[in-house]
Amino acid sequence: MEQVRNSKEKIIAVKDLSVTLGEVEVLKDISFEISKSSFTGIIGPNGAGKSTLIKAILGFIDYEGMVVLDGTVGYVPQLSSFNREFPMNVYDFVRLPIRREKNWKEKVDSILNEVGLEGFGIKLVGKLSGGEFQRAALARALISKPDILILDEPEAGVDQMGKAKFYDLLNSLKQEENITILMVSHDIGLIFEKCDNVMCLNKTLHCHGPTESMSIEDIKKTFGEFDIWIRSDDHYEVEHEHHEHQTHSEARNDRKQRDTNGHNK
Amino acid sequence: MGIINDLANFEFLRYSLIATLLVSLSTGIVSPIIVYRGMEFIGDGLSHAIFAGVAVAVVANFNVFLGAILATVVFAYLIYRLNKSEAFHESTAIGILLPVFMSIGVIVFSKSPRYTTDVTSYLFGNILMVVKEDLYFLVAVTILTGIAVFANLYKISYWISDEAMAQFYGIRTNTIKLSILFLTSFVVVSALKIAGVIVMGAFLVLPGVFAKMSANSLKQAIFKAINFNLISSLLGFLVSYYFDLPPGPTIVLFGFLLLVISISWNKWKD
Repeated sequence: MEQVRNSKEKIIAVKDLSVTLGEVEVLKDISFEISKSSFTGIIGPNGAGKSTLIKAILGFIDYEGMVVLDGTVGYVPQLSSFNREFPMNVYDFVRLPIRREKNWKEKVDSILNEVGLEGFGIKLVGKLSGGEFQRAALARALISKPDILILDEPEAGVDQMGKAKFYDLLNSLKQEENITILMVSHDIGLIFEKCDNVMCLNKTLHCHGPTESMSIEDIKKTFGEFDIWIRSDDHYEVEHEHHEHQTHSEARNDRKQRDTNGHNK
Repeated sequence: MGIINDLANFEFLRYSLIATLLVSLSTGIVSPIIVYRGMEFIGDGLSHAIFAGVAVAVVANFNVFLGAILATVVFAYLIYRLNKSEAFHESTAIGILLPVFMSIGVIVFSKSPRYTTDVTSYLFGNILMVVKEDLYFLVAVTILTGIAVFANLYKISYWISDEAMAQFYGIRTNTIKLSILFLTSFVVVSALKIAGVIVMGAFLVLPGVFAKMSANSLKQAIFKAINFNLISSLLGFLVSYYFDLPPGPTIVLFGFLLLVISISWNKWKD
């Protein structure tokens, strides 16, 4: 379902990208373009190759095809990438991209304020909560003022309220800094609420277009087994509760039926 | 004070004390890096690799010291290559190579008429055999290790904590990895007369584990590890002198005791 895109200036272009890990073809013939200052969310089931696509775009892994990034890149990896047992404070964690600059401390203080971590500089990264860690990782990605911001499941380990705040922060950054955002997420609900564009990935690209031109139902139709893979935690809980409710009702009905039959006998 | 007089009178005792203190410094610098990076078996691996190098040198009749250096450098490089291909974690690579190098050492040594004496000396260390040249090498290794580590402390910290991000933002993590492996090789070779093959691992692990319990940065961890080493080494040295015990293992036992006391103290505090 390749959809019509707007004619804005392109900042990311991927053409015929394929990735093979060992003997498994993880991604096949992925092609897309992303406009400047847009906020694009990539969704897909576990094992769909979302993180692999990000790693290929960033040059972490070998791939076939072409990737063009027309600007500097900041990257927010998954929570698990950092060894939280290691004693590093937030100042040192965030200054990585500008470590050679003399006034790094002022810049780190300023970006920490921006992401709502004022006064966190001397705290150890390992002691931060999931949400605070993601903000620190975002500060690190933004401190060198990149043109493109790439995030790989930044909301993992963050509660629903924290996720919404994090997405709002990204949106405000996008508006203020004119930054282009490409993000992998499991949370289809928030992606549809906060992103301008959605990409559906499962080994190959199934759909790509403006959020308003698609609906969760469209994706459901495209992929069929919707409740198996595309759902936010909320959706899962609702479905789970619904399923349990049904099961309990069925069991109650069965019992009633048995009782009635028993009495009848 | 018997030991003061003996230190004044006997050169070999002075040398062994200086060597012990220098080894405390050099192993204290690399130990936290090894422990945080999860390469705790590197000390064992490298010291066993030395065994192979020494064996080949003894049988082939060339400089034993050179044999030891060559063997550890080859060992370190093989770990780097196995790890670089991402097929094996560093500890797995060490686990693969350690018995191979040890087996080479045993087979080659078995063909040497000096088998028993050489093996005992390299297995358990021989602190009283420290000569001036050993001290020069120890000083050189300690200075080199100190400068290399402290000049690159930030890069090493990021390599340990988040290698992928360090690489993404331009830190040459492969160079750091290889440098740390080579530096550790030199430290192990220089410390062999103090520690010996058997207890070398403890010299490289105990101080790092101690430091990891309370450090707020890699720099602080290194200083804590050095202090830990100095205390356990001096105590071990004195006790081994007065009770005529092998110094290397005595130092290790004091280190372990210090670690147990620290862990108990921390638990009691909490």
